[in-house]
Amino acid sequence: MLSKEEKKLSLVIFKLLKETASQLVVKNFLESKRVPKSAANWDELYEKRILPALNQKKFTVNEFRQLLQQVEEFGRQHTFLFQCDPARAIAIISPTRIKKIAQQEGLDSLLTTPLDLELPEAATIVDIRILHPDHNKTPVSLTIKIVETRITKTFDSELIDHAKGVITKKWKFAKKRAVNIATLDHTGLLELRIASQDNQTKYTNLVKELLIKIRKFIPHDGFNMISLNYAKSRILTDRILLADEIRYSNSTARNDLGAVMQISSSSQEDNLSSDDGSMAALDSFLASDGHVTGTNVYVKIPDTKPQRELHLLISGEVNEFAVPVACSAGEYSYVRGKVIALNK
Amino acid sequence: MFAEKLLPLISSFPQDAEALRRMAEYLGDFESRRGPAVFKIRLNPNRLFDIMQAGSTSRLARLVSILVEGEIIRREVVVRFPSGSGITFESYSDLPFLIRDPDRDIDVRVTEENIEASYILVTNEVS
Repeated sequence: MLSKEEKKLSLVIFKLLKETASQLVVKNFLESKRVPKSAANWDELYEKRILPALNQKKFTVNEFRQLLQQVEEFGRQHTFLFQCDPARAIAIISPTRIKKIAQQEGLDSLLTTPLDLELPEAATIVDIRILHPDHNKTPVSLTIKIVETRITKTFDSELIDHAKGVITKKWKFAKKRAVNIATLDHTGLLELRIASQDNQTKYTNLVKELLIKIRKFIPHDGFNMISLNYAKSRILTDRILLADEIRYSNSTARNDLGAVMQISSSSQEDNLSSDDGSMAALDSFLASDGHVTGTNVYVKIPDTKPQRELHLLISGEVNEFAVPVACSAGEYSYVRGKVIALNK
Repeated sequence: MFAEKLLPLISSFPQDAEALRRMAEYLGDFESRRGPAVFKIRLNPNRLFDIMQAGSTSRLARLVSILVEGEIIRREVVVRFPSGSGITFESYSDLPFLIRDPDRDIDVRVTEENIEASYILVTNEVS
């Protein structure tokens, strides 16, 4: 039987899952734990399936939280890549060092029990994880999770006052939970994953704020931005080789005289690389001091039937790419690996 | 011509000499291949980052500052429209609140979303 605290916690996790995931994701999880999964709606799913299964110890609250971590920590994010020397990374992610800093900051409890916050007043570190599977070796990575509350606005109505010559526009706003992740691995790769914004394309300030938030644990000096310029170009120039792996939607290029070229497929479902004329125009532009500034493609996830494709954008800052759709940890990892491999 | 203009800067800023040398090589190569087209070079911060392999935004800012103070490049601000075209302004303070998008023939609000810095070479011609 769950304790009162565990029950309260499971409800918080459930509410967060409800905001982030589809019922199918939760039902697949229940199926993997051999728990009946039929339910007419979200509430029934919790009352009739999840809560009884937790009480019967078919899975633990911790496993339920891991589901939330997987769902909300991958996809619908913009990723920014940095690199430092591996020796520096290993020193930074040392468990002794991290524990000491966490104690100084009053965050040491997060090393064992993450905080399950819904809409914090200020950006808050809710989880600090050191992946250290073999204690005879150096840790693999350090992950810090930050939750913040964002406001999203949607246009509601406008009022025209003819007498005063004034139009008043009204927007409704809603508070939204945003999850940002910083992961430094032992090779020196620092990855900042920032939840996608609803109304803005620039992430410069969010990156700065995240770096400030984690600076005690991961000081930023010694890190260089990884320019993804080469990957952007290779995705296009190697398109014949990549035909089975990538579907092309649109690309933006700019030459050193400032001219801009944009090519888009007729719709997101089409593949631009099969349009010889468009591609020839782009090749010609790139051959004369042109550079790919943005590429919008679909990465085909291997061994999926029907074929699953994950949307990938590489544009914005030099070290930025985005997976703007929900995905699993494995799918995200595949796409990130593809971007890094293409950048070599 | 422009590549040579960077030589004093390379000597004056030994800490940034390598990055400045890359910029000089880029300009020298461009000029040798495309001649007078070099006067029309227009680079955004991302391109400058890649050319000089700046590594970080703070270092890029320092390098750009050296190049601007050394009168190699000059900053302009471009309001970029969805078509890819743009309208150039001398500085951020010159930006209007609203601007006409000539490609779509509509007024567009100037915001952080549609402006970008752009760098051109400083030439000595009388304007």
